[in-house]
Amino acid sequence: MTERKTLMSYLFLLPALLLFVAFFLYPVTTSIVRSFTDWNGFNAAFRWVGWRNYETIWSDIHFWESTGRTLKFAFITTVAQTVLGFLIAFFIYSLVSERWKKLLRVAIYTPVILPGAVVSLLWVNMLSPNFGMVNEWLHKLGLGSFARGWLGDPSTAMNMIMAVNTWKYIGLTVTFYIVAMLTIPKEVIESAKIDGAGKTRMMWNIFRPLLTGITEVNFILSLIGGLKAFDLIYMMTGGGPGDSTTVLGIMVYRRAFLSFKFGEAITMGILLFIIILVLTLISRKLMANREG
Amino acid sequence: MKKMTKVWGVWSICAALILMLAACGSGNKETGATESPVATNATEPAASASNSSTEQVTLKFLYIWPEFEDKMNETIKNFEAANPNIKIKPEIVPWDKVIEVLQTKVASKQEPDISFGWTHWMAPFVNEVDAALPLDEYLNKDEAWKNSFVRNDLLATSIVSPEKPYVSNIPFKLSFQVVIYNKKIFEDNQLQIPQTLEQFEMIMSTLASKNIIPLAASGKDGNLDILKDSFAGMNFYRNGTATGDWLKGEESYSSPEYLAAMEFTKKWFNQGYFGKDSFAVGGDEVSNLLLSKKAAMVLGNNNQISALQPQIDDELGAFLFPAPEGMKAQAPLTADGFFVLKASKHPEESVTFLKYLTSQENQKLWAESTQSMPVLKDLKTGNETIDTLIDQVASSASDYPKQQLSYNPGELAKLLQASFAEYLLKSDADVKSTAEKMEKDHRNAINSGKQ
Amino acid sequence: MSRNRLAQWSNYVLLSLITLIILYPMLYMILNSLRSTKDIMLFPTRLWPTGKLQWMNYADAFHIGKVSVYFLNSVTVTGATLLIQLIVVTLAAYALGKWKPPGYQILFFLFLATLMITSEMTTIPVFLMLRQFDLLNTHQGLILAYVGGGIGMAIYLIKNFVDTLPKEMEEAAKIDGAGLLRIFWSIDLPLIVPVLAVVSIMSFVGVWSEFFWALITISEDRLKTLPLGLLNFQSQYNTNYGVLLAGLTIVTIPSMLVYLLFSRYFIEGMTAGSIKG
Repeated sequence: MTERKTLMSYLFLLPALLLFVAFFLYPVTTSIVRSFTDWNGFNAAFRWVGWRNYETIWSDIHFWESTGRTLKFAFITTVAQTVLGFLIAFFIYSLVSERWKKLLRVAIYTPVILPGAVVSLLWVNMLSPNFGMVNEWLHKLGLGSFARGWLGDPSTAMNMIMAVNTWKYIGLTVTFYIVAMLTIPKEVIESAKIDGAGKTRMMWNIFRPLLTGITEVNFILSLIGGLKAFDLIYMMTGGGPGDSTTVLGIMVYRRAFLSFKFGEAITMGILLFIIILVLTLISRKLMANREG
Repeated sequence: MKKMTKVWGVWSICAALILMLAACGSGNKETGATESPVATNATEPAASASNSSTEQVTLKFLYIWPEFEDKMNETIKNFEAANPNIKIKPEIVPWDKVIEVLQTKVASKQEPDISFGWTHWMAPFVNEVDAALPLDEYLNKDEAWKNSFVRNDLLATSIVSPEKPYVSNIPFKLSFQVVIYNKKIFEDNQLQIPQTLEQFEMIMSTLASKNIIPLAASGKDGNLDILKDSFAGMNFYRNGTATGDWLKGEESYSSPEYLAAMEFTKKWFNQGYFGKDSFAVGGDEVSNLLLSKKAAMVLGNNNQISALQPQIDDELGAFLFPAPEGMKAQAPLTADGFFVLKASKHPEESVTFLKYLTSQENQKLWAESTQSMPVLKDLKTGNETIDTLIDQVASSASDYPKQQLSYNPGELAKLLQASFAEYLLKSDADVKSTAEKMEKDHRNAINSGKQ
Repeated sequence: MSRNRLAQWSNYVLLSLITLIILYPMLYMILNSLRSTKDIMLFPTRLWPTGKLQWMNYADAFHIGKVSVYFLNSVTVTGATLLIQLIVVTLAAYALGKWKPPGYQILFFLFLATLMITSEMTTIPVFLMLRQFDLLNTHQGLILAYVGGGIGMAIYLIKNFVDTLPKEMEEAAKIDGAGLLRIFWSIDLPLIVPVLAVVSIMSFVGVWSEFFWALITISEDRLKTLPLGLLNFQSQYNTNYGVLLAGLTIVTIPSMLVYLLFSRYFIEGMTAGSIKG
């Protein structure tokens, strides 16, 4: 590593590092300090309480229930988005018609572009028991027995939200996969075809191993996004019915803005961060091994 | 040589961009600069407060009604004309974000002078935050103002705790739960406005048998909890205990009256009186049910009446939720109001504005043009339904708890709501264990608030 | 012969169905923005507007949502954010991925870690910091906050892409005597255009429709961005759905256009100028 290279590198990194310090290092450090206080988010004055916030949260059963839900939500949506994303991307990639390719690529990305407010508004509408499209179609197709109050039934609310979440973000996964697929050298594909590989074999034995890099990216991003999920869930069910969709993101929000216990909210944020950190590290380790 | 040029090239482009931005944003900078002296300078404004009658004062004013922006601007214009030394700078914030926005503003010393607040829910602003200015002094100095309100205890609902026994909020327009109903459906089925709870139940079963949703309510938005609480309140009241006591946690959820209230609500729930899948249904959809004539009644708010009427050709009416036989109907006195921030540098002028907001002239303006329910005595809107309600409110029993809470119920309300929802939805749920769970959460909240 | 045709045909039917399901909410939004609120409330599930098309909704949205003012603000803020962010993250990710200075793994991980933080931890400290520097209620402050908030994701994506850049061309150029910067500018930069396009789209969509920060930072009406205008259509008890959907469509269309515009850079531009096929 030449001196010049090192110098250039740090120069290149400088603006990003400055922003990092200003917008992450400083706020997070401040927040960590505040997690040891009884800060309510408003006043400048607060008292040091040591580990009390941590103890409170640790012994709160609602916190643990919520963590369980969050983990479940994150895992299922991550796996769904990664696996389905791969399948859909491959499907689009191997389409013959250019027109359909273009149309589908654009179509699948539109949910990503739609503002969260629109998505929740429309889906709540479609899933409504009285006027909803979904139930109406179920009746028309003779599957009326399946019709129910999707978001009002604790046993189905979470599943529906996971489905909507997947619907919204799968466009990202698919797009990343397609971009990556386009970098696969044509020779590899040609020689596989010559070897007589059919669609399935092509996908499993050729594409999948070559795309581990982007799979990791997709997986990590989906995982982090899933663990932090808040906007969509809050707008669609507010955490209900009951507490069947109260994930950690919602608990943190409530603790901060409904109970004004910012100190505790930050504590939960820190615990959530640790969870995300550990899971991310584990995932990266596992994927790196597979690559080798 | 060439490489260095490249480096400098890149950096100078960056610099140029940043300079460009700084330049084009300099216009905005000006306003930024004028903001800080008001907020950060501590000594100067104190002097100006005593000379308030002659110096130009600007008050920052926060409210939550984008739909009434024109009306509020008119109010502000009238006020400024009568008070030439005071300027009002309004800001509108969405109603569901007002707490967060206010919190951020107070945390960064950017708070307004006067802000919107729910008269009956000042706990967040008074307890933890201690942001509300006590108003008793100003009220006592102006007896006429103090006595101008439609119910004497209206102001008292803004008293939050025994440790802080002062009026913190001046109500501006009444806002409370009513039953909004479709007059035509009632006529078609020969139904009258129920005067007692028992009559109400009979009406509901009649409607249910005709496949009309009797009382559409949003489980999701907490309508059912409000209902359950008012049942419980009535039960306690009947036995001589005010609702406030169990809100305070001095009564127990496991008491027979409360269990009875829960079971009663569940009975109605199971009979489908609230509509199908009430927990999947939000406030908007409840309105839809009424507008599409699928429901005969909805649990709503008095402010909705004027918004709903234009969207349906049947006539709508409203009445207070009836009390059981032999008792007076309760009108929980809840209102949208305003409070002065303690940190305001111009409390006198702020109170002057509050007085104007609740003046005859202004209240009349709002009552007649927006059909909001005024908070003053003997003022009518011209709308028959609303005026009837005003009469009912003025003469109803006042059992709204003086909250006197020592903790913020926001998150607790969500927990209680969740437990109650579980109880309603599970067919084999046990009412006693639900009550115990709610009790535990409630006690925890009180204890952690005391620390 | 006909079996093939049947397979193809059923393929297309399936595709159309899938496309419809995916696009349905968007179609709903656009088509329903042309219905009156009363109509929407009575028949919420109808897709196709019946009766007169309510172009008034758009006129109302423009007026109530103050689109003429807010639109320009959004363009300024989003444009500036995109520009600055691209420069900052490209430089940083390139250095991390290609030159790998000492400590690069830790730095990379720090950037990744920024994604794992909840907004409650950063909101108030950042807000106070902006106030400190007199940047509240200004576009610069907002832009800075947006740029700062978005570097994590962007660096993560770009760096991963840079990792996969081929070395052959670099070797050839080095033999020709090209220095680090020359390699960066003329050889590698064109190769990472696809991922930059993806990042641009994601950034654009994120900033264009961002709501919360804009709400708490900007209180001056003439500086507000487009999403804030949407608030004017909603009140506690009464939402004007027809106009709201029109407003939402107005907000969404630019994002759509940006996607269409930029997507060509990572689909078609891929094979241009590289050694592979």
